[in-house]
Amino acid sequence: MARQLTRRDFLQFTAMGASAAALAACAPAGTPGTAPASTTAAEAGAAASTTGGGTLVFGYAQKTTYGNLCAPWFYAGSQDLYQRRLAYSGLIQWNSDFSDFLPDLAESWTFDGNTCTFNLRKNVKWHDDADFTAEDVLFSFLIIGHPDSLWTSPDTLSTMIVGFKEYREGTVEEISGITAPDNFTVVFELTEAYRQPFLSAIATYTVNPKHLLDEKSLDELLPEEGLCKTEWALETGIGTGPFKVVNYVPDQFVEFERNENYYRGEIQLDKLIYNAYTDGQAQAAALESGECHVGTIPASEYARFQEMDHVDILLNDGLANTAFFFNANTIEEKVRQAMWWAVDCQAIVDTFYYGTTSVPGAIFEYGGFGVGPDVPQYSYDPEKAKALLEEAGWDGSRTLRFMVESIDPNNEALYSLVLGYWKEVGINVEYQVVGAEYGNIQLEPEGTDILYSGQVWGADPSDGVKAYLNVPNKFPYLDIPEAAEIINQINLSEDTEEIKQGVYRLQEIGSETACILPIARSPGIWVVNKKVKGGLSPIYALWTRNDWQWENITVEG
Amino acid sequence: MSRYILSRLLWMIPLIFGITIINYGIYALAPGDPVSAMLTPEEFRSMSREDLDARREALGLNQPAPVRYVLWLGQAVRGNLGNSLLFRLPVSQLIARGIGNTIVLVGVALLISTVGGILLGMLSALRPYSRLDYALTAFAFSGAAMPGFFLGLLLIYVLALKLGLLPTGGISSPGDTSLLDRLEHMILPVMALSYETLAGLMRYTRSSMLEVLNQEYVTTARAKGLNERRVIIGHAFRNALLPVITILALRIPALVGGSVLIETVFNYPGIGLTMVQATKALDYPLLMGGVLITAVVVLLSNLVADLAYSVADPRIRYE
Repeated sequence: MARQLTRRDFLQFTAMGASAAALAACAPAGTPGTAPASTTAAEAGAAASTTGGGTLVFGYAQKTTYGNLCAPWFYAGSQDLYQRRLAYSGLIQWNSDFSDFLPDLAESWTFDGNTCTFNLRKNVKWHDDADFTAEDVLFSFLIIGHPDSLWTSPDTLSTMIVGFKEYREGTVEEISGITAPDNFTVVFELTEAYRQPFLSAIATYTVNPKHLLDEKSLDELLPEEGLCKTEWALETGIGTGPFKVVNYVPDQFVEFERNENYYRGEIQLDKLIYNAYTDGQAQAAALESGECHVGTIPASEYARFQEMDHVDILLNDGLANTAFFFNANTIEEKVRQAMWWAVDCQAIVDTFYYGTTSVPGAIFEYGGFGVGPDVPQYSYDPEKAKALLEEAGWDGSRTLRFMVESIDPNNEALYSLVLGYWKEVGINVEYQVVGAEYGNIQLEPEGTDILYSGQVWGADPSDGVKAYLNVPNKFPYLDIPEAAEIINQINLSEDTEEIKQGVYRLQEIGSETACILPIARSPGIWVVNKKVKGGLSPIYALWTRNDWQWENITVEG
Repeated sequence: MSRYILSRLLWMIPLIFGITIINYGIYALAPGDPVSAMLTPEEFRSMSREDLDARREALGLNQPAPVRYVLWLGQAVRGNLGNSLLFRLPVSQLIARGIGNTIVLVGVALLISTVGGILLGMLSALRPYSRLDYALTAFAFSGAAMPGFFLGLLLIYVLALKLGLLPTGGISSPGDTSLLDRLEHMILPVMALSYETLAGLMRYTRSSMLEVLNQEYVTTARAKGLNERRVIIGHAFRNALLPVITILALRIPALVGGSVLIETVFNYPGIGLTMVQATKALDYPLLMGGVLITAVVVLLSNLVADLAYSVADPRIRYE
């Protein structure tokens, strides 16, 4: 007769299993195949240091680290812009105020009609000591433009680079407009004589190591996100940037050590830890305790952090506003202008944003040109708003729809303020809460009347302007032919004055049409621990800038 | 007993099947689609309707919900839970990455709350209406009344920021993966997660013990000359344990659910956070994978609780 399981047996089995599980679960985390990490960051810094630059902990609050190191697609969120640029480099980069471009892997470039030639740095090494050459650049653009790449940005390159569109559509195997006459020269043949917009687009991309990724063809490698499943993306993160990956624990941190062969200069930091925080308050707590040296904080924490002695606070607005958008199909221009006059943006900046940002002077600002002298300015004037509504024959019984995905507690106070301002002048607005239908309803010409979101206008007029002033088929359904012509002129111009005047005219159009009500510049409140030396200057939404000058940065203690 | 366990395990299969159908139905009925949910407003603005449709087709979202469910089920029984729409990684990999951390957190919290709750409950019952009892009662009521996430914030503020005794959050110090460092980082989240369960168990143990201590067989045991320790542990406690086991089994799903908030407050990379992100993005494959795993955990914990009854009470036999 089979022996029955007794109570004693069950107890013994359970105790053994629980003990084994507890021991296994408490084992140190890490990725397979990586060298064991040092016991503490401080000890690691001391052991590895020859210059004593210390270990910097860089925090970034985001929802997820996503799954890999290469993060070439923007679906990874802004994290890729910070983390990625630590290990990888591009041909060029924006400077700190986005007024000019700086050399990166390309030490110089020249335009000749429709051709742009990049002269690459020689003696640049990948982190595994392989040589960087023009072949890596060509290979990288083949990845970016591949039909299986889900990146939407290549549509800009499809417009500008000869042969890119055909490659993107899968009708050809190579991009005829990108060639490498030798190992250190890359030539782009453009469809028109683009200048800044082309450079702006090129500055977006980093270069990938061909020698690590070309074992399979791209048709085999890229489908189903294959690139993100390679050892390169999941473990090694080999690049040419100032730091190289030592240890990557997904959803926790990326540990970098300095690149001894960095071409811009010797890096002084021993290590840099990129720490992902899934919650802004958690990051704020870490900044306060000193566990994290650099990171952003919510505006609500600004006053409290100002009282602290061990940190500096840097206010760096990004290339974006927070704005309300009005449907040009359903709200006429005078009413839109009235809605702008009715809102006290300065009061909102002072209260809701705790004074950490400013009221925009125009819906876009580019290239350090500031705001044009003839751009219509709106201030808080409810009487003027009422007068405009009367001129427009506004029907006070009408109710406008303000579409939101959900009523976000972080923004509810702002919504209440603004809806209150509109109500004061006789414009009734009600919430239209739509959940995940938010995206689909935007594509319906009269699906809603008002939206609120970030208004990212980017580093170049061709980036953001066309998304707002020339969109007949999408919210805000504004179609201004003059704006499209000006954008085309700017794209092909090398004349700074011509570009400036074009930007000013776009600003005027934006203010006159009033489809966008910019409430405030998107605040970037950076906290930098005073132990960080060398003039670290973080910026909101790093964009494509890599001008952090890591060569100068050290951490005391 | 082994036949009983096998029978219960087999019954789990149709139960899990039913759970997945119900959950998939709920997700399918939710408005919107993952593609529009996962894009930022700027990305959405740059894409045409054709681009969106192409993205949906690439992700298999253009098929009817029942078809998608059957396809998912067919792969799931083979051990393939598909790829996350949001993370673009295998669901099994994402779950494996997070669930270990959550199990450790929940497991340690459960252990501490069980041992602590039972011990304190017994102590409270053995000295009823004393100062100690009143103090422990107040302790229990505050645990029942205070949300775990609020306690977590309080602990961070006092113990981490003001006193600097413990880290503010995370699973380890940046760059440090030693066991000691991990344990140090677990102290606050475990405290926040276990308090409510400990408080509840303490009260149940107290009332259960008080009831048993007044029983005749306990009086008989004392009359027979057994020492007090043997009376309490060998007789009273064993009989007071049954309702406590029930409460404990019911608390396990609550702990798993509560860990979501605690993981957020303490920046703890567990499965709870991943599920929240998946819910916002309508990431069906990841949600279904998470539901599947959670259902298995809950059903297994119920089985363990039932088996524990037979351990605690020899009169209970399973055939």
